[in-house]
Amino acid sequence: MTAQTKIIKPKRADLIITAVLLTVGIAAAIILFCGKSSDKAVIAVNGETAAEFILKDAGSGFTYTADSGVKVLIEQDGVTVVYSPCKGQDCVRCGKLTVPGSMAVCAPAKTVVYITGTKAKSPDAITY
Amino acid sequence: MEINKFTKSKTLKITTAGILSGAALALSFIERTVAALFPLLPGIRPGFSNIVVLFACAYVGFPYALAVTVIKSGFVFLISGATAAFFSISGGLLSVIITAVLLKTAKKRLSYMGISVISSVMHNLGQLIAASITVGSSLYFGYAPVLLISGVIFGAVTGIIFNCIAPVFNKLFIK
Repeated sequence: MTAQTKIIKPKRADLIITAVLLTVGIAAAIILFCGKSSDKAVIAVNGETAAEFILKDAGSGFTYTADSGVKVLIEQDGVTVVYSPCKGQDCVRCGKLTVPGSMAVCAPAKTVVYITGTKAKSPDAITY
Repeated sequence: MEINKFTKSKTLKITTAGILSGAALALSFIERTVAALFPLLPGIRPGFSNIVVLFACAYVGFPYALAVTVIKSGFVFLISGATAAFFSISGGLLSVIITAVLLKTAKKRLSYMGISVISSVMHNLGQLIAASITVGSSLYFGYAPVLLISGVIFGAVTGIIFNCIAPVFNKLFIK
């Protein structure tokens, strides 16, 4: 039996590494994405903020076109990239971004669309 | 038949690299087609073509794995353009280097599953760095938790698949 046939079975270190990395990922996702209320949609081009929109002021929704050509639909409940001049269209496939921390990135157009939020306020008191 | 001896001939070296690249491209193409039918989150793909890179690293040699990675990125350039190719080569190079190092140093402690998980996470990290350079901002790192979770899951799946088929490779390529 060679050394290469010996490493076929998963080992304890495999499971530990997998569990640790998965836990770190889930914890980071919870910290970044959960327990916040959506406040603003931010559109950044070339690493600089091109526009910011307060979501609750979006009314029935409107479209913003960035200098990069990326078109974004801003609505009260979220923001959607509706058009991108890039080939991949990954940012368009992101769909509506509603959760703070979620983002759509169009790397060819150097445009990032993301939602920011503040911690959701807990109720002062609950009456039964 | 031992593949390292077998590939001493220049023609066979080129043929081996060609076959491996072809297999990687075929898997990559199938993956893209399936991903279009069942879209996951953006930027997330199972990365099954990494099985070929892992095979090349483990059984044929690092230069072959490197060649497959570069050719795969060339394919991405033709299909999706320069930016996607830059992401692909950045993730691919970091991943293949880490895979080779782990196969050399951590073979006794890790199986292909662990190596594949780390390699997959490194692939995503390389892409994040490339994206941050391209976009000119570290904003993209906000997507890191999603890429970390997907990298671990798909890396583990790829590694388990490789663990299952490795005995066949051992029978074919090792005395």
